Amino acid sequence: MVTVKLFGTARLKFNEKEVQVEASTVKELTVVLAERYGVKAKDLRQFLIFVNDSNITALKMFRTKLNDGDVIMLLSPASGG
Amino acid sequence: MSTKFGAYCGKVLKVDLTTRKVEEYPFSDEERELFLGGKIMAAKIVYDNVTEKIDPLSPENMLVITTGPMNAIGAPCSSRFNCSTISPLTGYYTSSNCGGDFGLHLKRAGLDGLIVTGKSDEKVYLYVTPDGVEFKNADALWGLKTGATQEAIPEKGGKFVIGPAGENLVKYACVISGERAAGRGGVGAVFGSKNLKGIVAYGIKSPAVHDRDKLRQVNKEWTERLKAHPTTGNQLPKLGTAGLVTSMQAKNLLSTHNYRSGKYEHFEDISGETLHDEHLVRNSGCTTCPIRCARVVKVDGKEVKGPEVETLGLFGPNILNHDIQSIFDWNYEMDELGMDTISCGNTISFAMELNEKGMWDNGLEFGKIDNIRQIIDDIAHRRGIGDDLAEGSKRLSEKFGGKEFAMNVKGMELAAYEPRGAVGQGLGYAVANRGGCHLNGGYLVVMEGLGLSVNPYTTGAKAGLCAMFQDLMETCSAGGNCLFTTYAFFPMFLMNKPNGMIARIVNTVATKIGFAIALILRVPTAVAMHMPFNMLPHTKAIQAATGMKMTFGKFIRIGERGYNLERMIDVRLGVSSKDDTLPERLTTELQIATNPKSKVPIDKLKKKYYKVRFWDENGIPTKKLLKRLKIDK
Ligand code: SF4
Repeated sequence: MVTVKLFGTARLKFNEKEVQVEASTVKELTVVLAERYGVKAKDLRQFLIFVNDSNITALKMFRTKLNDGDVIMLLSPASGG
Repeated sequence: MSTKFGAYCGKVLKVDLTTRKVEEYPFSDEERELFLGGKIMAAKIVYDNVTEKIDPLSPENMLVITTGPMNAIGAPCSSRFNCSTISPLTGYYTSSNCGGDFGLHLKRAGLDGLIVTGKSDEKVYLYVTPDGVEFKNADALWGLKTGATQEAIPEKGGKFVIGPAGENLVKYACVISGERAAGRGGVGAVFGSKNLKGIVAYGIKSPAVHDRDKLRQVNKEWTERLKAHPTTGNQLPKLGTAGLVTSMQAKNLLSTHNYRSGKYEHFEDISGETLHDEHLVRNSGCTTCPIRCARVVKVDGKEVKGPEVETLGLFGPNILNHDIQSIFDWNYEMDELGMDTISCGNTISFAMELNEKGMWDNGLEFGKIDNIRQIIDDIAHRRGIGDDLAEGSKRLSEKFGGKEFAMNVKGMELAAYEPRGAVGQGLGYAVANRGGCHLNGGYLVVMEGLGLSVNPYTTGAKAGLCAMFQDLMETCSAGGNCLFTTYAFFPMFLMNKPNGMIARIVNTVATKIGFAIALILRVPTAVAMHMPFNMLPHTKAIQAATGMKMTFGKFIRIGERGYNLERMIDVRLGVSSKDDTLPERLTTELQIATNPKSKVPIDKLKKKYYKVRFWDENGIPTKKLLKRLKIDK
């Protein structure tokens, strides 16, 4: 089980703060969440994704492995202010 | 005086409060082309008049309030006007930007700018109309808060007023128009020192523009683009700048515990999401703005302006407070008292650390919030320890010690972006003309984490990117547009798809070529360089409005001129390389113990920055540069 926390426009779009899901990679996670929210997995891949405080761009992108207890943050693709 | 250019009134007035003389201040078309308007026009006026070090709170100091060609002609996000002066907080040049409707009225009253000098022997406010300037007695207004002052002034129009903090010469007092503030640098104290409670402007006629049809079309396309862009069309309207809190947390950028960390365990409690889900009444914004990034929240049942990210950060994590309602209350109170929330919050967190370390017994403690409301009031009225806090963190550190953790540059307190999580932003803070300002410092944190994901620890390209964005924002502001309109510079496909191949290539390439781009832009022939419309609509809008030929290269060059002009004012007032630095905590202590790169290598960055700016090793613009930029003959 991993914990997904939704922030920014992800929170507003899917109207959910936090969810626990089973997934072994980030790619799989986006597929599971896509089903849950009734969108395409590629739409979810456009959010910034952090696994335990690291941006997946600094890890193995969507191939990044997930372990039990990991915390994943989905953030707005673009912020600024 | 008049002008051949559209979108200008062709008139600047100078008011001497000592003699009550009002006269026209000459500003030629040649100068309009070189200095455009707003903060750059003001810098030119200050540069020509403040020729030696002065006491910022003496009658010798001047307030230069300016508009730009984009104000009052229907452009999006174009109610922003400028107020420049010599800052009582830093002793150097400051320009403060405000989104209230005063600027629109000033321009409709027929003025591109208003200069105020001297000191009135009685409390006054000024009433500016197309018929001239009237001096009105302000005895009955003195002591009133900013909201009450604006209500009590009987004349209609745009108002620009101070509260008790400005009257009591708090070094970081601001000036308020409507609910928006000219916040930074203590402009409000300069008003107070002149016995000037405020200025009201009223007018109904905007100046003619060069090509009305073209301008209408450009403005329409520009507005559509702002609405379609993920930052200005989605993130900012929905979550405001408060929406940054989570991104800052994720990227170690959220100043916490007086900048000892970039993360705060209770960040969610003070985030834009919590504000949105539990407190937002509606969003709002400056007049003329389609983005509407401002929040409306409730304080004591009253609907008021909500805090920006900087205030949330500095009165939240930075003092270890996660009660968001308390921040709404204090934010509102500081606006009412007329004080900059950034300097105030930062100074309080510094005082907390002084107390914690036994260097100043002041009753302020991290995480203890029951006395903050009273302290804010004491600062504005200079009561008890409020009198010391009203001086800002630099002067406090001179009195009690702790310079290495007094989070200011040149006396101006840093905003809530912790620069060890974005070293380019650290450089920006260090070299910014008005002191530790995130915007005047180039706001590289947008590239280094909040918009793009350029490696926040590399140094190679940061100096070049910093100079380029400083220049870009300089001209945007001088034109009269909100700086958020420069997000158009980042194409939508980059911002929409941060994990996409193109974004990843840009993030990598930017770390390599930023320096080269900045140098190329400084080649004289670069003024002929164009950009696609949707990357910088400002150039087309300025051209249609004024009739000036405006390329991207020229736009950047005007910004470079403005930036160097401001630097030269500061140099005259004593600035040099020694002042372009950061508090030691940020340059010597690691933010993350396991990451040896998590501190700001300021000397390395600064050396490169001076090179790309063509400044000598002491940070002084060279004679050749000043000649090239037509600053000096
Ligand atoms: S984006 Fe925000 S700050 Fe800028 S003009 Fe609009 S409301 Fe004002």
